[in-house]
Amino acid sequence: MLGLSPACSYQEVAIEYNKSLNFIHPDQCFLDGAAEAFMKLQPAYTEWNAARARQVWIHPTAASSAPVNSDSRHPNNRPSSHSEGRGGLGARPPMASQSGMPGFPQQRTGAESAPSGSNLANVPQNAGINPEPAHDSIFRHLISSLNPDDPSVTWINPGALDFLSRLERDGRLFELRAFTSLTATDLNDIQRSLFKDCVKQTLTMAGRFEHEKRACEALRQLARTLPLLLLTHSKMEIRAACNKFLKGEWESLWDKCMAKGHARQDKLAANPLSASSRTSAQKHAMAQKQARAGNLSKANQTVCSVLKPTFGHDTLYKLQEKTPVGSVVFDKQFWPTTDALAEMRRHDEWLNVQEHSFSIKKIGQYFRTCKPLSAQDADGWRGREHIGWLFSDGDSAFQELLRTHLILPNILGDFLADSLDEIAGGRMFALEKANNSLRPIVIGSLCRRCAARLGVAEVRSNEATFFHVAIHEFQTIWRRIGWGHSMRTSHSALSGSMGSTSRRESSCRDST
Amino acid sequence: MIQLDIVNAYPSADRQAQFDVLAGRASKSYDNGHVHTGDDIPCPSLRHYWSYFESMQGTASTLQFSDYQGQAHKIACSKGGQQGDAFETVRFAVTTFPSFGRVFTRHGACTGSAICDDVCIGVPLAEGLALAAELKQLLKQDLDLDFDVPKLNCFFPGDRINDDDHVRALFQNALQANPQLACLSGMDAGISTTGLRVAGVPIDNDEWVQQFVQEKAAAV
Repeated sequence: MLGLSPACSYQEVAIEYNKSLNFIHPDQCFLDGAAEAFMKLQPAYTEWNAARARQVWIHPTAASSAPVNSDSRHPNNRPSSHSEGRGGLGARPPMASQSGMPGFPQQRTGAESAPSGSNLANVPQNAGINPEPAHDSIFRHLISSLNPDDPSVTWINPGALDFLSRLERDGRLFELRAFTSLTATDLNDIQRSLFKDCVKQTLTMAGRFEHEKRACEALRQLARTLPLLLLTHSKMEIRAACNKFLKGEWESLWDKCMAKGHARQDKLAANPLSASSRTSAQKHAMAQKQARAGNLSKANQTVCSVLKPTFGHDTLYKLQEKTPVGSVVFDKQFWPTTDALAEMRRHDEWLNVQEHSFSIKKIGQYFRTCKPLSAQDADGWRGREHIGWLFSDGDSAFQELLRTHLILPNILGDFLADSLDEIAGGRMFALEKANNSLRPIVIGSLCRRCAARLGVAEVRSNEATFFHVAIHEFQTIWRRIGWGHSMRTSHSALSGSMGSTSRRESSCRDST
Repeated sequence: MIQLDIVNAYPSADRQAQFDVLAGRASKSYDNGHVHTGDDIPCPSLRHYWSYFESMQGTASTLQFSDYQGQAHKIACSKGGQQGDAFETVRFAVTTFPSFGRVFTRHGACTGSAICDDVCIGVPLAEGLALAAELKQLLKQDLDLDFDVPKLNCFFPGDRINDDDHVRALFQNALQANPQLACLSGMDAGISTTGLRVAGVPIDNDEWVQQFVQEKAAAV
């Protein structure tokens, strides 16, 4: 259909598909047969994509096409993000405990033999250590060297860390994102306490792998995923889920979430959503709930907004159209080197910025003032309901863990290259405007948004000064040397009058 | 006053140009060859946050979308960025600023302001159209951004000219007088002699603003 060879890459297909769709879209192309071609092409692509994704999940190592950014993959056969359909594109990934799958070697989870108890404190700490961690486990050094009295034993014996290692190796750490499971907004004190324990234990463990990047990042991602793993259950089940997690029964929890997600998908497939599914009475009830929670703006929006959720068969196409394809192969000759960045961060200036602009106090303030009942991010986090209170109970050690592992990495770029596609991504949906056009909405990671907000607050005054002063620089340059000279020439003139870039910046600041 | 609209602005800006601005050096030629590879590009001090921008836009990000049947889809975002993140606004502003700066400096009679992709030019008509035409060409060439020509809005404040047809005629005359403005030939649809909204704020005389607010309040 697209005139491509069977050996072409996924990206080539995607680019050609988008080009062709743009060309034959009935709103833009009035040639005979354009509408028919459009109606044939879109379903064909969707079907191809789904079939391909299924194939990838059954044979994870058999993917033939190059990833979008092939140099950012680590060599452990991890399926790439867009090209391999990891957990998305209609694919149904295997259950964590499913047997006989290439790339998913069977390991005894031990979940059924885990000690019972309501939380971690009830678990015997001297239960002994499983002496045989998986040979390729990213946690094997810790497991091999662990003292029997170490609290981590709880997570090792039931095979929790081995399970996490397998998820990481198989590129499945983000697979729960594929489901639109809603996280609870009204946790009671017991649920909060248990949830906090889960986050704390996970991040504490992550801190033990400071020099083992993959292990540390896997645990950080597990912490990021905890709302989807623990808070998407009924009120009664949340407590049990947290206890299971604390006992190391991660695999069965994961399987349960996957099963629930698939069940929800099946339900929606049988009864698809429609824009008219929310009645006026439901709207008012929702608005009242939002108003009572203190989010008047959202309540107002619920009642008054003419925008409505889009659930059309062509919504996906329209969203793809609004997300143009570009190149991520960059000319990096002038980019700062890793060493230069590391050197910069060793200086007092940055240390002061990090200390003051990204302090626990400011981070807590950000989350505490998030609007109630705001939409959850891709990992299920809600600012006020899930994080705000974590910064209100005076547990500064825990708050420092949140800052170190969930906030600062966004500013420092402290992620594994092969997970950046997911880290930088988000949850997307669409609203339909009154004129039938579509407004895409992306909800990025809550922690990333927090880091960005605090970063922007830090640079705001410099930015304002720059925008005021720089335009005068432009004018000074062109008035002095006239148009037609190169910027190189002009910059010499500029350097002569204002000095180096850094001097120029500082002069901008001084002139405020 | 000419109001410019950029099509799908945030997700369309060229990322290489963005990183060039953040790095402060041009990796390619810009501005019709007036800026050479290796030339400095003015940029505010964002070096502390280089890693943030690199991790967010140095690769194609995954956007998760669930359709009306609950089917999950992944959409690759490999161009520009997504509106909503606070740094996205900064990124867009610093990326487009050098282009705006260069063009506005060449049109000394014009004044302009921009809040992200909401751009206004205060102008004598002919000069403003020349600026808009040049800006249209350079934004496309350097940043891969497109003006939405039919959405361009031209507003004549005050009571001096209050006849839309009269204004359209002025407009057509200005376009016909300069062949280089042919690329703007579809923009007369947006002509208005009443007020306009800039970043959501109604702008005109008190009477118009009050009427605008009353209508909004009634709708709410």
